[in-house]
Amino acid sequence: MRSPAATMDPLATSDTSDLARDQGGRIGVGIDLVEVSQIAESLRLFPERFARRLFTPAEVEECARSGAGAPGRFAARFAAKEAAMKALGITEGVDWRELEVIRSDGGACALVLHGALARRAGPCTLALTISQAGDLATAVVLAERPAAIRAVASRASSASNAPCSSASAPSVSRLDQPHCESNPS
Amino acid sequence: MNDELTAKIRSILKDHARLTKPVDTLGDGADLYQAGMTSHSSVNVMLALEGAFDVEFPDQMLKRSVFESVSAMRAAIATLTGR
Repeated sequence: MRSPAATMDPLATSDTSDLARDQGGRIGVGIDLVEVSQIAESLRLFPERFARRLFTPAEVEECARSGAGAPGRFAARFAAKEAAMKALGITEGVDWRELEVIRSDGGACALVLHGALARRAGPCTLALTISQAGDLATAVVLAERPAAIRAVASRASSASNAPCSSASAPSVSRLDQPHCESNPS
Repeated sequence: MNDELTAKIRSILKDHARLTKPVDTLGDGADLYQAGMTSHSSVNVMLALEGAFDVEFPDQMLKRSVFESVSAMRAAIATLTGR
């Protein structure tokens, strides 16, 4: 629950923020694996509330459009949110709806942070890939945070590095992936 | 009242926590994550608690510590319901 979700996942407590360093920045990585059937069960047990508490209206609409495939879509997005919290190292007191998976017409997907979570995350760039096969949906998120001095410079120029701390418009730089949801044949 | 509250919480855990051992074998202070509760099942527990007690957990209570044991959940529910 932050979530309880990532919050309650023992893996979520591990420090993933210093796994790699590149030019003074810090890269965190997060991964999550979800059983689609379990998400389907949650949607059945808590109709409306499960979706409303964890997903934005746009995400719900996107998932609902896939009809019978909706549980898989919800599962992939749940995994993405969990993976993002791990990558950011922020797992306590997070509203899942402040982590939104958006998808372009071309099928690419990205993560956008909103509100308090965006402010807590600070300047960062997120990369997301999600996949589904059978009853499993998985997501991997990379979070790159510039070093403090770079962050200051970035805020001063308010140019290239879109800060995650903006609460209004989508606030995270996007690293689109070629496939938002893939079903290996 | 405490016994009733505890029994209700334990019933919800039995139905939703997907623990690796019967909840009846765990003490009120036992770590439920160590007993197999996953991030997803913890969400189900939260939603079930909200439905059973007609409450909604605010963001600041969506923490691992709030859901890690029966006693922690009992304290959280007591806070939310004013019991």
